[in-house]
Amino acid sequence: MKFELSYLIQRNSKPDIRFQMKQSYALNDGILGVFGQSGTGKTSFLKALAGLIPNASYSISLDNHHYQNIAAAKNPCVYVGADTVLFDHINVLANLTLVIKHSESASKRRLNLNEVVSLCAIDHLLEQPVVALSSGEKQRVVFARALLSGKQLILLDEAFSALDWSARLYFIELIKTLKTNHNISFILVSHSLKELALACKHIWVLQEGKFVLQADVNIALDTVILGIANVELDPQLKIEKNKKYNAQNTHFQTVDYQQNLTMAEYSETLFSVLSMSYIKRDELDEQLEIWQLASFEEAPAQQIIKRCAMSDKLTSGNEAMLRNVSSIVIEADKISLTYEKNTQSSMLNCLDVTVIGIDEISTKSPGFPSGIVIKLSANGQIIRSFISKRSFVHMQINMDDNLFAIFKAL
Amino acid sequence: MIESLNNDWAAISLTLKLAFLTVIVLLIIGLPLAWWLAKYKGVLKPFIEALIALPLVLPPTVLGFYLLTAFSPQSWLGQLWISLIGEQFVFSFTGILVGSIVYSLPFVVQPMVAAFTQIAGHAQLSASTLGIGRIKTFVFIVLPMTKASLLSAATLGFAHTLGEFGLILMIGGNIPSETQVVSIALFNHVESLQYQSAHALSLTLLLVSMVSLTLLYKFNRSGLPLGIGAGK
Repeated sequence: MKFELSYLIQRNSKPDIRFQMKQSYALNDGILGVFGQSGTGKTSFLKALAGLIPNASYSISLDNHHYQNIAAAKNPCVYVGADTVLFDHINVLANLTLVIKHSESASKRRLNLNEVVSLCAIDHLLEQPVVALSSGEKQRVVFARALLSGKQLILLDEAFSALDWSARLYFIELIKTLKTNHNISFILVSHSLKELALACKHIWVLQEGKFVLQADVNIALDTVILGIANVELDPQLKIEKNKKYNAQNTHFQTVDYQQNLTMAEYSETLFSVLSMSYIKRDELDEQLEIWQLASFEEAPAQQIIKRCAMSDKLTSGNEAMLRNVSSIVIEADKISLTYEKNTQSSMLNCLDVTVIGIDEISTKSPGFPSGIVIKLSANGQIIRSFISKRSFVHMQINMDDNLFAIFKAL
Repeated sequence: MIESLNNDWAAISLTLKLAFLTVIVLLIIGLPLAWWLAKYKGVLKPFIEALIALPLVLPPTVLGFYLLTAFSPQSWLGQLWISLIGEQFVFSFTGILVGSIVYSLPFVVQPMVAAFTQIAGHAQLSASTLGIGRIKTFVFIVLPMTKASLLSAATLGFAHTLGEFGLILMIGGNIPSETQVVSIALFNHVESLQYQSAHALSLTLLLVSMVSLTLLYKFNRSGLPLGIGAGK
């Protein structure tokens, strides 16, 4: 996908934002995430792509088709916002069938009505009038309706913001599955890095109409979160850091934290995202499930113990799909490090990891604790552990050390 | 009382015919006009809105006077009218029909514009990004969504035309079965001190207006888009 955008947002109290962008992104690489604080133009960016901003000049190339300043109805993108409205004079089912009947692109839809209804878990809502739905239910129906429009690129602008976290996780997994199995592409806009990190392969950071960072998700996490924390690297650590981790994998690039990201009131804790696949239910404790860490290198497979996902209306029936591959967020301060494996511990998870990065956070931002971030590789996946300086000095952790990362059932 | 009404039957049927035709024509020209105006964002918008709203504030006699002057048989517009319609504009039914259409235009077009922008504004954006074309959006989404407002616009236009006086007197005069509507017949009765007939006619007009407005409010409440209306 290639696109060019040019337009001006005029704002009364703040300086105008001028969009002048020429970008390309390989949609086959996976879902693209756009991160930015409120008021940086995320929504305008997506709406302009979808052709919903009348005075914006834009062009998109997608699958060898070139579109330039065409009406929104013929645009290859469908825009789904947090407060996109349903047609409230008819019920939920009629909303869906109306799109199938009258949308010009609906014939190209990759899923039929029944599949969409079951994937979005809205079967019990079909006969309801739109006014009776909660805001979370509305967002699910709006998403279902977008799937039925048959457009090949779905632009999600905080489209799941009214859902609770577990339902949101479900929809994140759903869009990844739809991408892989049905080749429906998504661009996801959110102010939640966790949501983006779970769903996306690449994250672009938008600031005042410009993309100030375009990076693989792990680099983006380091740059954004550590960048916000005003990281000042200890001179001694800097030397360590310069011993670049020598791996072919592009995940391990060193990051220039000094990039000028001015994310003022941003507060999100440090975390990492693990992808894993389901193996079986635990025989000793039916509350637990055994999953396997997806591996990007040749190393013995490692298991992770996870609490059962609560089976509610959303997941029942769609469990098989979700268990295939799943991502999970793990907070950096939930992970302890040890050099010796202790089998007598209430911590159920113990992963074999290698140190690939050490950063000191001496923060000036309130609410962001100071300490050491140890970046670890577990089967090629990045795990961040946040420990105190005292532990760091006491343990004498060095680059390339082999450690055990221990944490409770996820 | 009924007997005295019998003499006015011509005026009553003429009034109903006038109101009915006015509403039909206003729906035909009002729908596209309102649809266009709801979307139009150009510099002329305030001027066009003012032009449509003008009959609300202008004395009907002023409106009537200008129409009379513009369409007088001596003027080129009047000549054009005669060559097109075959009869002169002034003192004719088509003349008062045109007058009523202008006079009731804001009562029909303004609620329509409000409905298209406020009730169906966001829905149109949703529809367009979902790939539904403009005409289909209008026919299958906007019209069904705003039908309550459209009905109320039509009813208001109808009720408003029933009560017209000054404009019709100005353009149409007082020709029985041609331009003598109920309000003018009523004025005649009072002038000639026929209070019995005046009472009958007034009461009829009052009842028709009251009933149509009551029906409108009843219908509209259950048709309100946000389900505010009690008990469907």
